[in-house]
Amino acid sequence: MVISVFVAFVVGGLICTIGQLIIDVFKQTPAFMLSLFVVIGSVLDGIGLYEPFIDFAGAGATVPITSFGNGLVHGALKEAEQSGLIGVVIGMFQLTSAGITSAIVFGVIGALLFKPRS
Amino acid sequence: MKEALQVRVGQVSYQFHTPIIINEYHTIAGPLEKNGALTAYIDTFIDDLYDGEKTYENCYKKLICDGISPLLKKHPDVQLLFTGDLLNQSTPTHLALTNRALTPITFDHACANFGLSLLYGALSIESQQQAAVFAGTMSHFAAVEKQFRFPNEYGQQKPPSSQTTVTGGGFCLLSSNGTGPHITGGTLGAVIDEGFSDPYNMGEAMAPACFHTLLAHFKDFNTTPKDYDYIITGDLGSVGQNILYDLLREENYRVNRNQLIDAGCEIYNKNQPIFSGGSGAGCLSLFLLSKGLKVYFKKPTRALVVATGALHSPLSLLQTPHIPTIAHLIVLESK
Repeated sequence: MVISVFVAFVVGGLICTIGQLIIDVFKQTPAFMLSLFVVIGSVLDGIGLYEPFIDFAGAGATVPITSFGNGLVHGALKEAEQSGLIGVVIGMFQLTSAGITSAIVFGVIGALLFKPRS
Repeated sequence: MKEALQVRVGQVSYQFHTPIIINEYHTIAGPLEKNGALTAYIDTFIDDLYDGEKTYENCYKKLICDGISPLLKKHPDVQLLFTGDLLNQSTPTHLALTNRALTPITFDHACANFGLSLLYGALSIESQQQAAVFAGTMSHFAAVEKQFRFPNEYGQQKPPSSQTTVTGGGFCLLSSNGTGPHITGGTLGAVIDEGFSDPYNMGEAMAPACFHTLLAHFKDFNTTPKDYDYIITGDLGSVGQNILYDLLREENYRVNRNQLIDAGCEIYNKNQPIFSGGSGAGCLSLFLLSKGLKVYFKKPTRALVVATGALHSPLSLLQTPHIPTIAHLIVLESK
């Protein structure tokens, strides 16, 4: 338990450090860094590496945005196995729907409670 | 017949023969500036970045309105205001002056607007087109962040080299009689592009423009930094000021570190979260028309005031990753 928490902390922290370096050293925007991480996550899952990575690092692999890319590809591939080509579009948001829905719901709550524009 | 006195000096400079005096002035600033280093010298403050308005942009408009109103009330016959703000088409200025008998001459030189405004105000008096004119600039932190960077709510990280747009500014009356420091000359800058492209390091991009204008001035007037008590720069921040110091030393101009004053470094206290200093169109006008005139120009002083501006837009930066910059200079003397 302690070891897996430690591994998750270090691995997740390392991913965030790389993100910070992309902003600070390579002078990229946060949006660029986020998109890049989503792409990296999806490519890693496409070649079958993200699942073992999750087994190794746990939350360290699922909390950073790379896991969103993994979720997109993973859902699409899984559904494609069952429904063929159409499954790619059906499955794309299956695993990520929780994240997307909560983003919308909490966005609405935030906008109702606070000033949404300045 | 008396020969007309030469106004144009050298390549890009002007020497004024009629006295052009900064007679009256009014400064206004925001909440961060209220806790800063100039509190005792600034005339009025607003308590938050909305000041009762619905949007930051409307507050920007209100700041300009409140800044110019006290002067306009006393001098309703003045026709021109030389100015320029930081939003598209100078909308805050134009909205603020709606239905007033004052014509705004708005420049598009960002933070260099104040220098250009004073210079053109002075030129219009020197050429006897006007007896008196207003000049001044204003900026608003949140409205300008939204225009040039990201809305505050986005929570964009800023590196230590970035600067903080000043909320506030000042307006002044230029005329040929009265008491106050005299504008005796000026030098116009040209657009300089040294290839810098980091909008979070404007000091680095603007220092070369400041340097070019200073060199042109020293050449045209045949002077050196020794002939002036201070070189007051607009908003180079601590990064840009150090670069300017190095550039001047490299050119063998002996400048004293105490001779260089940067408005962006003077407005705030050391412990305020402003990164490398203040910036914005109102930065120089706020400093010069408060502590500048009330402390530095109270005694006999001869100083160069250089307003530096970055001329990029968020779109231009995406299409052409360069920040062109410009600097305009005036010679300000008090006796």
